[in-house]
Amino acid sequence: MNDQQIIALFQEAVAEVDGNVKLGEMTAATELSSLGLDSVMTMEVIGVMEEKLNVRFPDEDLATLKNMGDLTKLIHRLS
Amino acid sequence: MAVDGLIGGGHISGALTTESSFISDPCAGNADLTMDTKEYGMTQTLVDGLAAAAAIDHKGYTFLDDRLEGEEWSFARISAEADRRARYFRSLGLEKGDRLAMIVPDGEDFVLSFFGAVRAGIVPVPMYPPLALGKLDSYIDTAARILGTASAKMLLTTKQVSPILWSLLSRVETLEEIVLTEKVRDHDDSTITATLDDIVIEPSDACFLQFTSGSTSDPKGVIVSHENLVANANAIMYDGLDCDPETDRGVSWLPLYHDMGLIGFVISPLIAHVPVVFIPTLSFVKRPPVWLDVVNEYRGTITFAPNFAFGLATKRATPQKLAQLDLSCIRVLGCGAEPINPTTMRAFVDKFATAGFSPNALMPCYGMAEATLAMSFDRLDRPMNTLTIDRDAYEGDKVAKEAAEGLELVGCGATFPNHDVAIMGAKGELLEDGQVGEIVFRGPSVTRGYFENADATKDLLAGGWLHTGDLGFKKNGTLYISGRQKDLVILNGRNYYPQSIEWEVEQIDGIRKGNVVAFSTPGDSSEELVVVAETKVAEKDLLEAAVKRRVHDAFGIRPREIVLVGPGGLPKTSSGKLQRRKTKQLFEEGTLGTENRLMGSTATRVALARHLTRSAFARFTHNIKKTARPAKKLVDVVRRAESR
Repeated sequence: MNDQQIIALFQEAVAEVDGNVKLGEMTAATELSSLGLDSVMTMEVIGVMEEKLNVRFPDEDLATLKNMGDLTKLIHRLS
Repeated sequence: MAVDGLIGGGHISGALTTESSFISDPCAGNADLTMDTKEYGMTQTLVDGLAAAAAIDHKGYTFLDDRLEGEEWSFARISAEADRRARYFRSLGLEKGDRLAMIVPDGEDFVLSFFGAVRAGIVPVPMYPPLALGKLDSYIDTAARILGTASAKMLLTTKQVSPILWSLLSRVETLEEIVLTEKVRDHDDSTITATLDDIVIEPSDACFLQFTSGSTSDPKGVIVSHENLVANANAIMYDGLDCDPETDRGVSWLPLYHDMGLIGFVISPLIAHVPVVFIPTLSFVKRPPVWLDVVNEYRGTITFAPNFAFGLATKRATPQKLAQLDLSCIRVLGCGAEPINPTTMRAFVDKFATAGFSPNALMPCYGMAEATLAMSFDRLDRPMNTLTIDRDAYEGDKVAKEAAEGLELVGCGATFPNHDVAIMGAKGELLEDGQVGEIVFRGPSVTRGYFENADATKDLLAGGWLHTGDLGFKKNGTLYISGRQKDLVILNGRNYYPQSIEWEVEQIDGIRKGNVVAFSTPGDSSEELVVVAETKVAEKDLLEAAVKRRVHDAFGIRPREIVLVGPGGLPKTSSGKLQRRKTKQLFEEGTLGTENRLMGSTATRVALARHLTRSAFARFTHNIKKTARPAKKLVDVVRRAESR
């Protein structure tokens, strides 16, 4: 799975958690905090992604996620 | 609400400064607000409870992991493990009455170490773990204040979390050691000589300290004694829930460092021998449907959650999901710990009725850490009952008058045998049914006070009643809670309840439900109303106008200012409750909504690096202190340098 596909999957997950959120163009540098999600929603999105990818992100890694690049790196490491 | 905070430390404390010396007949008008008495067990202390649990080896607590797999610990095994850990804690030099702070995210480790400390007479101080790195600075500050207030001797934590906590050793005078849960769990018992034979626990002894999350600058530790716990556990399990240990089973995802999770699902069920299945809090937040999935799978009969969780569960339940669930097993679904919104409750009941959920199972309840946990439960045999009252009579005359339209409040039932709940007026007089005043409470569940804080204790317990700081009234044998006394918005001599304004604003499209704060602030001539709300909408002007119009139409007030912030822009407590006073303070300082922007990734990383450096340094100086007494001078020099 390449980075573009991971970003697309992320966008799907956000839509699933809350269809009202409008996400613009996203790159590896896009900060998770700039997406207009609060912390509970962010965790919900992470949960949806875990199910789609059939992986579990370790809690201590979640705490360090800052941007989309961190997320794609984590997913590559886990899969 | 904030994730870091689900993870919270109890309810907003109810200290109040009103002197209430004039009480005529304290019990007048209370008889209708008390339940019938039931039989209790023989337990006098939680240590008795642990001893009695040793005989029960066919059921106990199941701790699920994030994959929802986990093993059942029988009550007998829990009791034996508590003894084993108790001896280890004693071997570290912890004595009866010493405070042991606990920052332990894992449920199984938390519960076993908590009971171990209690078994040895050590007083645990549960604290919430750090989760969001962006807030590490304030987390460490709060942790240092809690540890200092509790005069904690040791801090128990995990290997994973410990690297950022070492700096606390140099910041907290009384803190001697950081103990790792891994060592407690894996220690070789044959090397331990300490015994528990000489430990005598009296019912009046402090069992643990519950820190409330209301104020982080001035934390207060509620002293929860063994007799408080037993009284409240009996009230919850027997009077309130009418539990049957043979058929009941609890399910909980609630954080264990929070009173509803700890007392409601760890301590009370142990005393009543009711098995419980625990879901990691973070698993629920990541995947809200797991809560009811686990209830379904384990045929849970009792589960509790705060209002927000009902909203999350409703939102995420697809028709496909509902078809897989059979929730007819739920006997009691309690709702408490934050204001209960009738609209949220109805949406939940409507949605899950198709999955067999019985509307009678929904049980609104009321409580706070200063009352150990529970103060009132609604009856088991009826659906949620609400009362709609006239806004004018309520806000103007402080009277609850039933009306076709107005403010809808959820009834929170009656209090337990041996306890009284009453409504008190501004002069300390007890009020009649239907009159609005401060809710006061008394009985064996009430704390004897805050740990080493005589002033706050005096205010809290003035006149022999626990002053909750909450406003409410009694009607038809039911208690209704309407808001916090300190948050009252007084405009032109008239009282408005912020909740009623907030719930009105929430109805507007584009405003995030549960993320609205209303408060008053000094204006040119009198107090003026400010409404702050979170939104994801970019076009803010139209939305602002809509909020203004709505508030004006509903209450006849013209707000001075509407502030719209992005998601997460409102300050929340560690348990995710909105902080009205903090919001007001930030507004008045002109810094509202800027907190998140300052927390960019660079700032966060710098903060983390600083903490790790300080931690490593503190660990180094701590080791010097331990191994070479003469080096103390060096440590002092280092400390002085560090504090500069």
